[in-house]
Amino acid sequence: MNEDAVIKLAQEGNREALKLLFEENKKKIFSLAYQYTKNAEDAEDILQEAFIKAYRSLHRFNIKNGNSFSPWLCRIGINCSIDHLRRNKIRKEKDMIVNNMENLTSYDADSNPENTSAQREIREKIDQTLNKLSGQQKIIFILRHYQQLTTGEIAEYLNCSEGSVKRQLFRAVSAMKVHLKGLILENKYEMQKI
Amino acid sequence: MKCKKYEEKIILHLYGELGEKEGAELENHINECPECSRDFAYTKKVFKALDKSKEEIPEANWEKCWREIDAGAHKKSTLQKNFFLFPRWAYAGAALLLVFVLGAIIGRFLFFPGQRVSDEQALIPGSIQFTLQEYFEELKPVLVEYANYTSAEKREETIFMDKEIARNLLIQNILLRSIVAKTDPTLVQLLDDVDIVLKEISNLKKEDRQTPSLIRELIQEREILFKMEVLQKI
Repeated sequence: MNEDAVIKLAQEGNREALKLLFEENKKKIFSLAYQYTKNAEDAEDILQEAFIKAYRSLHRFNIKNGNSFSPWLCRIGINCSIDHLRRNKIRKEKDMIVNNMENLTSYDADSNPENTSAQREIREKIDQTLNKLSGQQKIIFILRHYQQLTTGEIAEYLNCSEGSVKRQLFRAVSAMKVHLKGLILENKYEMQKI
Repeated sequence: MKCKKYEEKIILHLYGELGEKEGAELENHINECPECSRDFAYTKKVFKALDKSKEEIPEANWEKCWREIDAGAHKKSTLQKNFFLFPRWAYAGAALLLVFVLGAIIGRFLFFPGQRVSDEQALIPGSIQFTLQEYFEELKPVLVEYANYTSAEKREETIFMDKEIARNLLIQNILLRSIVAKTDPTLVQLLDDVDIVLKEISNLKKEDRQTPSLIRELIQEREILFKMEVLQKI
């Protein structure tokens, strides 16, 4: 069954059709939300919120205009992620301190052999830098770097110009360059390994 | 960095977002400019570090997520069901009826503004009829007193109080007149007569014995009290 037919059925309230759309898109939305929040529970909440919102406004989704469901759903997912983080900002800050302490103490038990101390340091620095970025810069960076979307696609998702996406991406990467400088150039991180 | 314009291009180039021509131009520049060459090498290292530190996305509890979504979506349809208790045509009919009734009410006030309000409306606090009744109730004792004036009665203190009361009533009179000016000519005429009487009382002087008599005549000649009685009974 093609996507348009599934969407049409979902618009009519067909439960199975909605489940099919969920199966098709769940990983994409969850990974986006996880990369944004760095918390699996929050990412699950965002995934649920995004699908419920999408279902409730599905009647406004126009198949005839050649619109694709996935970018539309992603847009909802992005908005939910931004809203979720805004709502839980204070809680998140407290949790982050606790999580960081837990990560530090439980790190030796990490089963991944590639996780060296330097890599951990870099990852922490990346997370810290990501949290210092503005909401839009963060989402643009995640969409470009981790979700592998082009700047043109991101512009379409976020309903802004490609130039604006490029500028925000440049600022985000520049921030990464500044914050990682110490770790990369001071040989704390063995570059040959990367 | 001096070559500011290449800084952004280096990032876009590493993301594969520069066109062939722009990419070639950037590479030529990097070969010639040691500063940009260093920046290019460093940015490449940052990209590698970012790639290396990519976290594995954990597996979500998909079953639980779907249950929540299903319940959330179902909740909405229940709400929708409850909202439309009657057939939709009934809501359309009710809306039409409401528009018609509102139109009739607005039309009545727009096209027949001079029509007198009913007794029920006269009792509604805040309506013009109610205000008028209250005003007449306040005005009547003053006018009755002057209508029955005899020169022996008026003392200095009484005149002073009358003047104060008359000034207050005068303000109310002016306001009421402006409200009914375009809608009720009979009432306007009465309020004009009252206006003259109240102005005379306001300007009374304690030694003046003639003006109260003139006021008495004015009230009687213009039948002010009689007209007020009639208007109050309509």
